[in-house]
Amino acid sequence: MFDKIFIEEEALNHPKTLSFLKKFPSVKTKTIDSIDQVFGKVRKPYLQKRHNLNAFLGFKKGQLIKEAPPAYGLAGEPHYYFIHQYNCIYECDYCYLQGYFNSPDLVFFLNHEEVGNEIKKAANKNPERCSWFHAGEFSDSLALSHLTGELPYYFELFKQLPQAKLEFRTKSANITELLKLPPLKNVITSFSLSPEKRIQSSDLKTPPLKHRLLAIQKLHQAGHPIAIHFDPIIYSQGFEEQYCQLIEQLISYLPASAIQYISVGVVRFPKDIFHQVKRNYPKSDLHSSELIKSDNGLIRYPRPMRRWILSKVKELLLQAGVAESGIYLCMED
Amino acid sequence: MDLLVFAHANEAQHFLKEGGYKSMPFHFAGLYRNEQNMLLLCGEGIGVAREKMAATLAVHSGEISRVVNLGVCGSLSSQAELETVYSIRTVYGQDCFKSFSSHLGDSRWDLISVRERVLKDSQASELENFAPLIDREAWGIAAACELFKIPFSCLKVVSDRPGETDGVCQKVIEKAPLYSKLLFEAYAEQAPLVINDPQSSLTLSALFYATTSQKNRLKALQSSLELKFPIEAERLESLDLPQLEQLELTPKQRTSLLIERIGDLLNPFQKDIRQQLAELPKPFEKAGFSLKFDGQLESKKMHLNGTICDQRQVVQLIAALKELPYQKIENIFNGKLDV
Repeated sequence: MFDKIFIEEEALNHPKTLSFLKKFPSVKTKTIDSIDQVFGKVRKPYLQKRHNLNAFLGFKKGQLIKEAPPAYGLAGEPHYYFIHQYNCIYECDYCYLQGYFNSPDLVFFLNHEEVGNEIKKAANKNPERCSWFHAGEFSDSLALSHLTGELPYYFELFKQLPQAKLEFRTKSANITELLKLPPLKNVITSFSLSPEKRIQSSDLKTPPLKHRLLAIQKLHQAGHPIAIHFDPIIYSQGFEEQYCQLIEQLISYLPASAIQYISVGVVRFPKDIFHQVKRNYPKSDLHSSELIKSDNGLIRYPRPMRRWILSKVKELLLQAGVAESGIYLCMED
Repeated sequence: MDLLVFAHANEAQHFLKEGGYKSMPFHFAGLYRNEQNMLLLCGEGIGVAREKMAATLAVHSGEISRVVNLGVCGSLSSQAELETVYSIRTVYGQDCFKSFSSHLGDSRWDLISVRERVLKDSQASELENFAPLIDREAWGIAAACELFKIPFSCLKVVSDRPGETDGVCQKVIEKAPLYSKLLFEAYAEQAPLVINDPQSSLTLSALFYATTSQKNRLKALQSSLELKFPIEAERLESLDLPQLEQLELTPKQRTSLLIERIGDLLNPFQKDIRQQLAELPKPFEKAGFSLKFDGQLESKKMHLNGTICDQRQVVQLIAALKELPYQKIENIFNGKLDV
C-alpha cells in the first residue's frame, strides 16, 4: 500500500506508530524531524497516488480544531472540524484535495488527546448549546480506521460530552471498527451517497453504492445514528430518476425516520481546483456539463439550476418520508 | 521533430556518431541536427540547461514537437540498478516547489535535479525523500519545455551512487560510450509522440470565418462537445453544418451561430432558462429600451437602458414595466422552473 513510511522523530515510540508499523512490516521507514520537512515541500502530482503513495506519522501542530464555514451543517449551532489526517485513499474526480496539499501522500496525526482537549474546551465554552465536531474534512473518517485506531478514543471522549455531537464523514464501507464500539446518540456516522452510475464515473476507488448501503444498514441495526450527504450532486441527463431511485434504495436499507439529517449540495469548485480536475481527469463529464465561472471565482452551475436541483432533491426526499427539519440545503448564495 | 538534450558530448557520442548530426550555426556551440531530429548539448547544471533550452526553443520551437532529455544520473535508491536506463515520470528540483511530469505516463521512476554535486550521505538521504534518482539538469530543461508548452520526456542511465567520491568522474567518463549506447537503444524503443489534435474532427468550409477569439472559443467548446458526443457522426449530425451553410449570413455571423449552437448543445438547461427569459425584453424594445439579464444567470438584477425622447416612449415604458412579470423572473432565478 505504501512506498515508504516517514515518521517524525518524536513519534517514533508512540504506541499508535508501533501498531501502525506492525501492519506494514516490509515497508521501508524513514525518520524525519518534522512532516513539513518533506510533505508538500515539492509539488507531487496527485495521480501518483495510484502507484507511489507514502505515509507520514507525526503530531499535528498549530490549530487543532477550526470553526467550520457557513452552510457546513445544521444551521444555528456552532460547527467545528478537526484534522487528524490529510488526504484520502479514494479518488473522486471532483475532490478538492487534488489541489489542496500539493501532495497526495497520506498524513496521519497521532496526537488525538491534544485534539480531544481542544474539543472539550470548545464544547464547554457554550455548554447549554449543542456544538458539532466534524471529522473528515481533509480525509475519509472511516476508510483507514482499522489502521489508525482512533475511534475508541473519540467515542470515549464524546461519552463525556453529551451536549456535543461528533460526525464521522465517509464514503467507505469500512465499519468493522465502529461495530466494535457501543453506539452513542451523539456520535453520528454520515455517508456521502450518489447514484450508482455517478459513483462509477466519479467516485473512483470508492465502494459501490450497494456496499455503502449495506454498511449503513448494519450500523443502523447496531444502533449507531446515521446521517446522509447528497453532496456533491452532479447534474446529468436522467438526474431526477437517478436520485429518485437512490432515495428509494436508501430508504429500503434505512427507514426515513432513522435518518438523523440529510445534507444536499451541488457540485462547486474554486477555480484552481477545477484547473486540477481538468488536468487529472480530462475525460470527466464535468468538463461538458453546464458549469460556469461565477463572479466570486467559484465554478458551479448557474443559480437557477443550482436552486432547481436542490429543490428537486428536497421534494423527492419529502415524498419519501424524510422529515423536512432533517433536510438541509447547502446554499452558498 | 524531437529535440534530444544532453548535458555533455560524452553522453551524446553514440547519437552523434550513428545519427549523422551536423553542427548548426547558433548563438552558442552545441546545437546539431540531422534529417529527423535536433540535438542540443546544454551543459551541466540547472541554470545553464534552462538558459540554453530557452534560447533554442525561442528560435526553433515551431519545428520541435517533443523534447527528450537523455543522460547519466545517480541513484539514491538501492532499487535503481547501475547501467540501467529508466524512463522518468516526474522531475523535481532541489529547493524548487514546482515539478514537471513526462508526457509518457508509463514510468514509475522520479528524479530530482540538484544544484551541486552530492558528496555527503546526509545530503543524499535528504534528497531521497523526494525521488530515487538524481541529476544536474533535467528540471531546467523541463521548465523551459513548460514555458513553450512542448511535451517533455526523460531517459536516464544510472552511472553512480552519490556519496561515492573516489574517481567517480573518471569512471563515468570511461563508461560514457556504454552509457551513450544504452541511451541510444532506449530512445529507439521509446514510443513515438502521438498528438491528439482536438480540432481535427471539425472541419469548417470556406463559408465560415472565425476571428481569433472565435477560434479560441470554438477550440474550448469543441473539446467539451467531444466529451458529450464521443461519436463523431452523432456530433456532426447534432451541429447540422449544412443547414448553417444555407443561411443568408456572413461567414463570421455563421461561425457565431455555430458557437451559439454548440453552447446550446452543451448547456440545454441554460438554453431553456434563456428561452424563458427571452420574451421579457420585447415590450421594452418597442419603447426603445433594452432590458438585459445577468449573462451568467447568477443575479436576478436586470439592467434597463435607453433614452426617453418623447411622451409616447414614456407611455410605452410605463406599460412595459406594469406588464413585467417580476414574480416569474424571481421564480426562474430561484429555480422554480419547468424543465
